[in-house]
Amino acid sequence: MKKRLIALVCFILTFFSSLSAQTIKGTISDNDKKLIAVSNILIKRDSSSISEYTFSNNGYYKITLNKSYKRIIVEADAYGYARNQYVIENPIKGKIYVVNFELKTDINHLDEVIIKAKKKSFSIKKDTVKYNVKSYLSGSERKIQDVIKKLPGVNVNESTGEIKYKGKSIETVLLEGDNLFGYNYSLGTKNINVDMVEQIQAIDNYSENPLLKNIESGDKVVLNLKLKKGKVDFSGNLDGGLGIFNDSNIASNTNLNILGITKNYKSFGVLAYNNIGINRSPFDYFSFNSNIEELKEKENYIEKIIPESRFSNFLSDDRVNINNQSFGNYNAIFNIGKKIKIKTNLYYLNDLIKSNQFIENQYSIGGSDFITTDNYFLSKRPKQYRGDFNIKLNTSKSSLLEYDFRIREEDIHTKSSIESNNSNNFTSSLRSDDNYIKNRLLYTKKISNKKALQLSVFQSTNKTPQVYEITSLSLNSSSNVNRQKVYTEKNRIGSQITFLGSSFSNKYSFSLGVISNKNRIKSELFNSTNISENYLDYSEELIYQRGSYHFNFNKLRITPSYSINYLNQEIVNYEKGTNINRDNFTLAPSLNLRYRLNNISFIQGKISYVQNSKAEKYLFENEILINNRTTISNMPNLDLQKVLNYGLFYFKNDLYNQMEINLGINYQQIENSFFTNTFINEDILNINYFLLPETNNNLGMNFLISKYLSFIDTNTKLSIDYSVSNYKNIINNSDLRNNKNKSTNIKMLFKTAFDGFINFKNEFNFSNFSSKNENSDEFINEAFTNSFSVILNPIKEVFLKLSSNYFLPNFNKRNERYNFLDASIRYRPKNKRFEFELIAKNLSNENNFEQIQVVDFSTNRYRTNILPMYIFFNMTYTF
Amino acid sequence: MNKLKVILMLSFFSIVTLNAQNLGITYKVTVNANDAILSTSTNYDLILNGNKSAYYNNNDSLKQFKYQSFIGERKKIGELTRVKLSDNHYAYVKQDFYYKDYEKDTLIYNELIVSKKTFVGEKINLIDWEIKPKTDTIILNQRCLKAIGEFRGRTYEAYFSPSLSQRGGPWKFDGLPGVILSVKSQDDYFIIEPIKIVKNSKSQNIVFNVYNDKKSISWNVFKKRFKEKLIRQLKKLKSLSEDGEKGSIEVTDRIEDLGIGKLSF
Repeated sequence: MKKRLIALVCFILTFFSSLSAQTIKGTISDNDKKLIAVSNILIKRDSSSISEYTFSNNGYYKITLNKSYKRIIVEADAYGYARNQYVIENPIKGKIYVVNFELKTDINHLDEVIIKAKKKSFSIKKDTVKYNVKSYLSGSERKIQDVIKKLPGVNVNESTGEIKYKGKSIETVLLEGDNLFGYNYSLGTKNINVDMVEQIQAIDNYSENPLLKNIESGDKVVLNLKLKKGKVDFSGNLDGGLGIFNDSNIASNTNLNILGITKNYKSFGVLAYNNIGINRSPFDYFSFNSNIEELKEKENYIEKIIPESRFSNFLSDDRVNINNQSFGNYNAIFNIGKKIKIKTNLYYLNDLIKSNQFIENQYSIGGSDFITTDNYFLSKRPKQYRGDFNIKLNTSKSSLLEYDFRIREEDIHTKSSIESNNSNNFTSSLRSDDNYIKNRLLYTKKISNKKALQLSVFQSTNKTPQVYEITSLSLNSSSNVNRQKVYTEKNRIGSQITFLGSSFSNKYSFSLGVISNKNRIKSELFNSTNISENYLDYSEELIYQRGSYHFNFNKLRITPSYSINYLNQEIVNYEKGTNINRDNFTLAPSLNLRYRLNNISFIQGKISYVQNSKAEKYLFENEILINNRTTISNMPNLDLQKVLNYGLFYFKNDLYNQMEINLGINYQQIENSFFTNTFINEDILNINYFLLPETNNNLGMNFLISKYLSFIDTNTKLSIDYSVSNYKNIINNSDLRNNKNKSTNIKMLFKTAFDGFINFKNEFNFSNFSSKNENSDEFINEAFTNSFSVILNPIKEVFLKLSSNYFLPNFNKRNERYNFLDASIRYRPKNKRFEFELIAKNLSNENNFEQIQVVDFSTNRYRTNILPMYIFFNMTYTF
Repeated sequence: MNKLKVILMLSFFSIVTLNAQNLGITYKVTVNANDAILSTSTNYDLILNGNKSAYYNNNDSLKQFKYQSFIGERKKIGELTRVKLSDNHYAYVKQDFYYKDYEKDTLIYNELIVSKKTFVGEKINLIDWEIKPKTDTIILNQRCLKAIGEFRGRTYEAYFSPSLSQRGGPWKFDGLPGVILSVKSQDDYFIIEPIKIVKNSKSQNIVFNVYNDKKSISWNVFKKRFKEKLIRQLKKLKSLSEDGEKGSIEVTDRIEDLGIGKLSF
């Protein structure tokens, strides 16, 4: 009975469905009524889309339609015949239509047409992704860094110049396979013109040392610039530009780049001068962001005790950096025979940076509210001379000897006049020297195809003498000069022996090393009498044994590593006559897991635990004056800081579908940190650093998605960063305070890639920052920026860009907003070596910019002057 | 079948017939194998002429392997070349040729059962495609529509051009009312992209059935024989193993799912 019921239901359903649909059948024949064996029957609603279709069988066809239609176009299409259509208006449901077609022979003689695919924007081969530069050009790019920024899977940190590929920081940017720039690769990326480069290659598993190929763990990534054919021997470009600022001063920008490539010689040189805010060098004297090389070698450096005036980098340099920079650089590699390779890098920099900065702090501490203001007129003159030398000697087929030498002499002189709290006036001068010498010898011996031994010896000396003088010009006091002298020196020497090997797809390395650091600090603060003095030595002796193993199990890679350390620290304070000594044995394990989900995505987990000493930064006990308000001092402590770190990351880079997703979470717990004990009033700020066995922690999360939406020809990118940090401090003799900082940043980018003459780009940025102490109100600031550009390309030779940058530094003060307008027009004659550009910057003539930052006890309002409106004409000659 | 024979079969005649319409498409074909070392990328040509088509690789050299530097020994076994990619990976390089006759609704191609070549015959329309409305896109200046279909274990996205030709497509892909220009599996395992289109070639390519004298088997018979061969190999493995040892064979790195599963003892 049940079966019958089901059969009945099925019958009814079939009956109704056949009632609701039309059936079309018929024949397809030629002029001679001969049936055409193979043909298509297309059912359409309009002339373009195909709604349903079937194929004929020896000239007969039948199709029962599944969709409903108000009008049916039936089209017959057969090879060698002209198409034919039949239209059924207001078709009746359930009706069977018979439509026979008679197709006419298509006798058109058509010319041969060959259509070739454009060179793909990228190709993937083994460990290398090759990006064709031409595919990423919209016309607005001038230097190769402008293209690198756009490459899928590549991220460039605008402040430091650091380039990351697939989430990993790259080792360097090679020029035709040679490491000409080292970690200062931004020299190449900031200066080489896009026209010179044919292809950018991203190379995974890179080994600079050929003896370690397939032996060392393949974690290193590099970019390689392949030059256009013909860009060999000598080539380059000369940019020359002149303009006028709104205040009638002359704006100038000159830049000469020369590239020389022969069989045994490769060189790149830069000579540049500008006063329009461009930094052509890898050194940042404007906001003092460390570059990659400085981060990699920071162990060798001693930190300056009196910090240099850092300027805001919230806006891009070319708006705020009121500079006068001359920069010269020459990099060359020579091959002498087959066995010797010599590399030299020479640098010269001279700048004059001027800035007017107004800083207002609104403090709210323990029920007491007060405001301080400082108005600084600064002029900073940094100078740097530097020379690097590297020689590689292939002592045999299986051994390589390398020697590195660097010498750097830096001098920064900063003069300022200060108006403090609208009443106290000062003038100050800070002269900072920085002398640095580094030597390193590295010997590599390949023992077998899968094993190698490396021995390195290194030494470095860094001296940073500083003199700070501040004169009070207050009417009620006679000229009162405070002079702070500081001398710091660090000597580092060490040696390491490393055994590297690979077995099947697994790789390992074990090393044994010894490092000795010796630091000296001498300081003297005096006016007519001595106020404060420091004189001490700090030494650190480290013996370590480290090991790491990369296990590869199909898609899973497990990398456990460890470091066993013996550390001896000693502070000899000659001024106080004290001596503190400490020995520590420590173990630092870490585990890294990486699972390849498929060819384009992986998931990675990390956990590590390290114990290290932070004493080197907090050594002197007596006060050192660092500006018109602030003194710093420390309570030295040799206890080790314990850092536990967890991280989980997901990374997907689907080049074929132009989609990139990054997702990451990182948690860090730090025990035994140095905290600040701060005393603040309207006139002074005393900071004392002290160590407590308390815990700080940080949580960071980031998400990025980038997708090219082909249906609207638009590239979209969304990134969200969120972080929370918990820290402690003491303010004005309070108890230990617990504080929490939270930060959220949301960025959205749209960029169109229409075929037509017009394109658009919009970037939106929202940030929320809050800082809260457990016993007081929360300090919150929300800011918003939006950058919009219209890019016009009416004819191939002309490129026009109009852009607007809107800033709202504080959501609560909507009338305090900034809008920068810029325009540029570029003309490049066909096949000519010249290019002309007219630039108008800051057309709305904004003359200062303000931003707000919050901490747990104050709101900081920071206002800086910016480059005034200017109009500028630039000519580029490529040779 | 050697390469020379294929070239003969595709002899280029400069005869311009009344219906001199013909179409040649060169595709770049990429296989991103699960075991990366087996991944390949090479060019194939599709010749569509009248109611027949031929699809073949025009470069059967070892260059197709993404990791060429890993290639160790190579050995000629009849028409095939066996290459060693690693201690555990061997691959056979052969000349592919897919012949389609739309009048007879026949697709014939050669396949390997381990190292033995066999010929397989199937119907042309193997995939039940769903045309996606409003998904026009331009590929090599041709307006294309998108279709999605399942085929032997993978979901494919295809772009076809109704204006370029009535039908046709690379490999076993067909059955859409236009020639398939681009097709990829949603997991990116198998990607076919056009790099060149030649319309109305003056050198007309005449497509012959190179398998005329060959006896072909059905897909189901092929799968059955493939499985039998694996079972024989597994038995051989068992005979060589120690008591208590276990062993298994599983086909995991093929474009098509043969439905064999894991064979073990």
